[in-house]
Amino acid sequence: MEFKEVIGLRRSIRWFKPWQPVEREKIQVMLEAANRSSRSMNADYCKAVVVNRDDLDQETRDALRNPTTTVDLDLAPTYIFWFTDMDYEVGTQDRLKELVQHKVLPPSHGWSEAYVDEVVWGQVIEPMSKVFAIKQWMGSIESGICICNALNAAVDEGLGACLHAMGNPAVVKEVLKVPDSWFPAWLMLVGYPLEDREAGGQRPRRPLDTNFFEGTCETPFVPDPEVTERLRREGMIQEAGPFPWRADEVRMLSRMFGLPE
Amino acid sequence: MSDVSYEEGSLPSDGIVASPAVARWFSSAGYDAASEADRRALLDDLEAFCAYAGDREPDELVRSCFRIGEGGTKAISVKGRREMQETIEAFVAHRGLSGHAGTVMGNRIRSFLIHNGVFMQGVPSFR
Repeated sequence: MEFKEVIGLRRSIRWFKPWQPVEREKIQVMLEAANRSSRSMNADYCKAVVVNRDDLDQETRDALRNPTTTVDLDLAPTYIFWFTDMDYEVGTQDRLKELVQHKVLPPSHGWSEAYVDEVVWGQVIEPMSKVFAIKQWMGSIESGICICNALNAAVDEGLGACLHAMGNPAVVKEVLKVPDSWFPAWLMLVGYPLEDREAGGQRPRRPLDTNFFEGTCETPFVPDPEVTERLRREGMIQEAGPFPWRADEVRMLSRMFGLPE
Repeated sequence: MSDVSYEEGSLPSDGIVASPAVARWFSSAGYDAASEADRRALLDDLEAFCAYAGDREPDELVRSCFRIGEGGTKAISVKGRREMQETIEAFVAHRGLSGHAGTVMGNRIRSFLIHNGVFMQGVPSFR
């Protein structure tokens, strides 16, 4: 699938085929996409544990439920638990020097191993690592980028996925044997979409110039209609929901599983 | 539920038909457009549940899932919602239903509550 279509087709999928497992190779693709994400300091912010729904006993599955995930947890065959490792700064001094050696961080841009040791590590990263709010802010952003790559890879592999809050972190920690330094990020439910992959149409978004600006925050970024039209042709901008048949689709899916209408 | 009418002798009780919570359920779920037989079946089940839950009115069932704080603020009652889930499960068992039929019956009652703002989910039937 082309990149723009992947972006355009991504939806939060809430109806999965509960009977169709996800091939391990597709999960590997998602994890590799995550592993290739942009990350400052070449640090390992993001961790993930892949669990097959049917490998968990009913008691554990029930313990994972929170008010918004109940049906999804039953329908999705694969769970990926994402975490931020709050010890992410460990090893970054050496990794930054490695990037200096590889000329990724070159002298032309002011970088040297001495600069890493004496300034970046000694005066920035090491002190910063002691301030929880800054550390959490940075870890959350970097983990989000990583998780986003995995989400888009899922779409590219023909899968559906949705991010949820991780219900009952204490149970998750015990069952998955989560290290103390890992902070819960998202629970990603993965499977083959049972609903149409367009899931009723592209979600409504505010116009581009509502959120993006040019020059100053007082000048909205006005989109070029020709570019907008090209993005429609190439699949990034798709027909907005709800499709006229969406209510019937959801009603039929609900009846299939006996769920509330 | 102003546009719902029944022939005399086949009516669920007046209390059910006149309930604002039932009207809200029918309107929000699209049941106003359902056949009369389907609507009657829904009302019969809800009425049976109301009776099982201690002869409570539909609106009373909804209220029991909320707690009203100082100044009239409305919040979901964890205890009330949990008790309601347990009552629904007991009702399904009381009717001798299990499997898909049991799931459908329980979730029919949940539908009534959901469309009245009570967040709850049922387990899907597919195993």
